[in-house]
Formats: sequence, structure tokens, C-alpha cells
Amino acid sequence: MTMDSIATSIVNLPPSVLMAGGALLIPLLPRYFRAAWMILLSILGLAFLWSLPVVQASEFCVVSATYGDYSLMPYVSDPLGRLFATIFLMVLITGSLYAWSLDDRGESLGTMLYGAGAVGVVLAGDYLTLFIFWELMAIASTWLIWSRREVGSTAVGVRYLIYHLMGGGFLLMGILFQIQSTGSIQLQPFTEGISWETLGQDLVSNPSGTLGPLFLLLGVAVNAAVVPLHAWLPDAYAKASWTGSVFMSALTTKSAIYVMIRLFPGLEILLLAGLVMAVFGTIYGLLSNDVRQILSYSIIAQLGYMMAAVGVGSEMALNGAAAHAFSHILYKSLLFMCAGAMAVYAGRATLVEWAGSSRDSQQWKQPDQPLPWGLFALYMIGALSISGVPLLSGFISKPMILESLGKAHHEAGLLILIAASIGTFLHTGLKIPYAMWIKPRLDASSHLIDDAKQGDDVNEETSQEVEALQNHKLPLSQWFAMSLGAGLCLLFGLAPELLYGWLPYPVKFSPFEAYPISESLMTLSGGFFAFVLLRKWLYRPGTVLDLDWMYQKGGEPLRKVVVDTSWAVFSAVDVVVQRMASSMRQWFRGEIGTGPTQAQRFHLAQPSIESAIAWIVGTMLVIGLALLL
Amino acid sequence: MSQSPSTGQSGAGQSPKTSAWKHWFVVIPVMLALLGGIAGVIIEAVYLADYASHWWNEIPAFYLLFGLGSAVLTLVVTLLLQRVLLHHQHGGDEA
Repeated sequence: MTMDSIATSIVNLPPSVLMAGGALLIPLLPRYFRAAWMILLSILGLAFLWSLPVVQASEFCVVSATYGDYSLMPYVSDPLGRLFATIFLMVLITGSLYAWSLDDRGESLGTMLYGAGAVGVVLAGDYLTLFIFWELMAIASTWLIWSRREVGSTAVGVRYLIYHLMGGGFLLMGILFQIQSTGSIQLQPFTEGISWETLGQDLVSNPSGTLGPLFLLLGVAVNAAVVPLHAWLPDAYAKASWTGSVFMSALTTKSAIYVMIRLFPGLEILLLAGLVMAVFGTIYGLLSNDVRQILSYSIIAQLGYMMAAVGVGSEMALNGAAAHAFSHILYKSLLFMCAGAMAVYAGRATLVEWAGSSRDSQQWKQPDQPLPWGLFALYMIGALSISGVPLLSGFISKPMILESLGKAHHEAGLLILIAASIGTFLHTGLKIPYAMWIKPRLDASSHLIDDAKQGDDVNEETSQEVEALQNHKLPLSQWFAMSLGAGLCLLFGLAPELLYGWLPYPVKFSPFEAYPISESLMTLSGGFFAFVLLRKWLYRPGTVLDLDWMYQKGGEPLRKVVVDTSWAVFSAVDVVVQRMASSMRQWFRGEIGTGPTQAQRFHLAQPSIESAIAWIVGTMLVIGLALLL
Repeated sequence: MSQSPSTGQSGAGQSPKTSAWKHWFVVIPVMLALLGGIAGVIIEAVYLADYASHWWNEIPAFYLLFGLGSAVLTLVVTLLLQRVLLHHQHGGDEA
């Protein structure tokens, strides 16, 4: 093997394999080296990824293998996959920087494996590779929820895992049907889509060919948090570790959006699903009181934008979906980093406790310490980006989706998405900062800390309080990571051509034109004054009930039938088996019947290796038969 | 710093200096929103006078009205849903 071929082999190493292999070293490294190693792995992954040529709107297989009769493509380089892998690796770098002072080997390992899974999914060229990395992502991300080690996070993690294993099960079923139908495991878009009018006939005439895409769609929809399969998202992201939620906000749902773009471009039902998600996420974001829960619901709303664009399916729409996923990862990871920083200062994140409400004055509490203005500036860069303010990252992708809907004459959908965008501005851009920064300073007791900073006459007790509170210091690495995230939002907002050059199709769109700018400025201005008018009633205490509560209630009779019946059947079997065992024992002891002879007793008391093997093989056959059935 | 709920009312015991600069927390965002809205209307009037891609483009300052109207509608719907979907619990955080 020559040096050139060795070098080529190294460069052609899939970034996901590099990351997964490198992750195994993480538990062996000392504390601060772990984050540095994670950053180095991500940078190497980026370097490997970008060292390969990419041809616009086509793909080529970098690494291939065979499995039985099937040819695997575990590493495919195409513009769409490279775009998603790039942003995943970028967020792994900023997120690892944010988690620099984290002292949890398990969480660091889980994070890197999670990242490897996400990168593996978007670079996969076949279903088998996709499924393996999909499941790696599900298991590794669950660890990030359990890493919180707080009341409730274990249960939430189990629930999250069940959702994702169920989604993975649907995905696997879809893959198996697809292989049976086409004989191929290559990822190919379903250009003919799914015909809902003739679904019944298709199921009879071509069951595998019909069930394949249906189950694939269902499996991906779970990860894409399509309403009503979304309940895991606000639940898990609000309960994950503070650093874990930064990665979770970026990887799981966006890799599902990638698969949607790849497999189901132009599937019309996705447009409808996207609109529902946009409205649902907006309303629930406004209802919620927890910062991370609001941000989680706003993820659902933003995913709705991407899903609607995939449903439109034109080149501009697919570019818009990919660009919006990229922008969304930038500003959402920044917002989740800021949410973690808020918790350092605030100790809690329930907005009602900060902003109060005219009707629930007993809920009013003053913050322990006012949040710094530097954090406000960083948070607002993320919040204004998600709201689509010009010169920030959200503005370079959201208008592209809106224009694609307009060009496809989906005018009602276009107006719904604009309204949802204003709603996002209301909860992320106004509701949270008003409660966390503005309202506490407008309230009475904030003068204590303001005066202390201005060097006014402050009594000794107050000075001590301020000094004690200021011990809540945010690590420098977290400030740096948030600044990097904000800088990237500004960079791509100011220079959109950087992103447009990476999109899968040629871009014929510029956000810096009169129409998108005037539309954005006017709608946001109108939304601001609506918030000023109605803000008093927006901060109400309580936990928001999501749809899962409703279907849990609705599913109660079903649960009784399934669980209670199974319980009764197993109990009955248990009783029968116990009685049989008791009878056998009595017969063996000669208490009933004639009992065994001396020879039989000796044989039964010393089981042979043959009988042990027979038992094992018999048991395996029974289990295999049960699985087959 | 434990505070009684009653101290949440504004105005009690503030120094004049703090009260004076607190107004900026309100004035600056309102001014920015006003300026943004006005800038949007001016851009539309100057550069998009003949632009008619959708029926609503013929309505002057449509997006300003749409922004206000849709935000009010969204907030009113949210306030109505609060009565149904906000669950008041007693005894701490829910797992």
C-alpha cells in the first residue's frame, strides 16, 4: 500500500466513523481535554468533509461496501448532505466550547456519539446505514436527558426513548417493505409520492410498495416532531441537561428534515402538516412559562416552515428548507445556550415568577439577580434572528420559503406562515426578554442592584447581598461560545451568499430586496404593539397541557383493555404453571402416583449436556417463532 | 434576596436616578418598533408602488395591519386557550 493510498483512505474516512471512534477515547481523558478533543474531532470531520469534491445537484459515493446481495453506500458526498453535516459539526464545535467546564464523562461521550449519529444519517447513501446511525442518535441523545439527574428527567428520558424506538421501528418496517418492493437499499426520493385517493387500491395491488413509503414517512415524522407525534420534544428539551439541550435542539429534528427533503420532496400532505406545526408551535409557545419549553415549541413552529417548504417541493422551496434548517440550528443553539446562562443567574426559568400578572399577584417574585445586559444582547441576536429581522440569519432563509409558497400560489399558507412568524417574535423576541430583563428592572426592588452598580449610597446589608449574588459567574468559555454563535448569526445574516453557495440547487433569490425587508419591518412592528397592548394577560401560572395529555386520557379505555387483559392472561398462566410445577415436585417425591424409579430419579437429578442443549435450542425456536409471527 | 410578593408593585421606594433611566427600557423598544414600521411603509411606498404579486399588495401598509391584526388574534386565541390548557398544580414542579 503506497503513501498516497493510505492518505486517500484516511481522507475518505467517513466523519461519522471518525467521531464515533474518537468518542470512545473521551472517558479516558481528563476534564478539560475532553471538550478540546470533541472540538478537534469536529474540526477534523469538517476538514475531511470539505476535502472531497461535491458536484451540484448530484452525489457520488466515497465509500462503498457490500452486505449480502446489497451494495452499501455508507458515505455519500452531495451538496445537501454536506450542508447538513457542516452545520452539525459547527454546532458541535460551539456546543463543546459551551460545555468546556462540564465534568461528566458520560455526557461528553453521549454528545459525541449523538453527533456522530446525526452526521452519519446525513451522509448515508443507503437505508441500512441510515437506520444504524438513526438508532445511535436515539440512544445517545437519551443519555443527554438522563445526564440532568433531576427529578423527572429519568421518566422523561424513558418516554423520549420509547418515542424514538417506536419511530425507529416504523422506519425499519418501512425500509424492509421498501427493500421487498424494489430490491434496492439505496436512498431514492419517492418522486411519485403517496396517492391518498387510491391508497386502499394500492394497498391491495402493491402492499409492499405502498406500505414502504408510509412507514418511512411515519418513522421520520416522529423525529421531525410532526404534530401530533411531537410531545417528546418540549418534554425532553426542557428536561435535558443545560448543555445537552443545545445539541438536541440542533441534531434530531434537523436530521429528520434532511430525510424528508431527501425522500419526500413535493409530498403535498407535508405542506398541510407544516402549517399545522407552525400555528401549533406558536400558540403553545405563547402558552408556556418555561424558557426552554417556549424555545422547544418554537422549534416545532420553525420545523413547520421547513416541512411546508418540503411539501411545496420546488427547487427554491427545497433550498429554503435546507437554508432554514441551517439558520435555525445557528440561532436556536444560541438561544438554548442563553437559556442555560439565564439559569445560572436566575436559578429558575419560569416566566410568571419574573413578570407576574395582574390577576395573579401572589405569584410575583423578584429575581435573585438581574440578568446582565451582555446576555440580553446575545439572546436578542438569536431572538431577532428567529423572528426574521433583516441582517440576521433567519432573514436569509425564511423569506425564501415564503416566496416559494407565493410562487406556488399557496397564498393562504403564505399568510399563515407570516402570522406564525409574528407569533414567534411574540414569544421568543418579546415574552421572554420582557419577563427576564425589562419587567424586573421596572419593578420596585431592582433599584437596589442598580444603585449598587452606580456607586450610590447603599447600606451595608444591600452591598453584601449584591456581592453574594454576583458570585453566580458564567464561565468564560460559555460567554465565548455564545458570542461565537451570535457572530455566526450575524455573519450569515450579513453575507447570505456564503450559505447560498452550499445549497443543493442554484439560488435565484436575494433577501436584500425591498419586498422582504418592508414586509419584515412592518409585520414585526405591528406584532410589537399588539404585545404592548396585551402583555399583562400573557403571564399566567400553570403547566401547559399538550396533546399527549389528551390522547393519554382518550387512550385510558384502550389501556385498560390491553394491559388489564394481558395482566389477567399472564396471571392465569402463572397460576397454571405453578400448579403444574407443584404436581411435578409431588410426583418426583413419590407423594402422588407411583413416582419415578431409582434410575429415573438419578437421570432427572443429573441433567445431561444433551438435554441442556435441547432446552436452549427449543427455547430459541419458540422465541424465533414468536418474533416471526 | 427574599422579597415579599407585595414588593412587586412598582414605584415604592425607588431613587430618582433609577426611576429616570428606567423609562429608557420602554422608550427605546417603542421607538425602534415605530421606526421599523415607518421605514417599512416608506420602502413599500417608494420601491413597491407598482408591485402586485398578490391581491393584498394593492392595500397600502397591508403588512403593518396584518402584523397587528394577526398578533392580536394570536394573543386573544392564546388567552382563551389558557383557560382550557393551563393546568394549575399544587405542590411544586411537575416531573
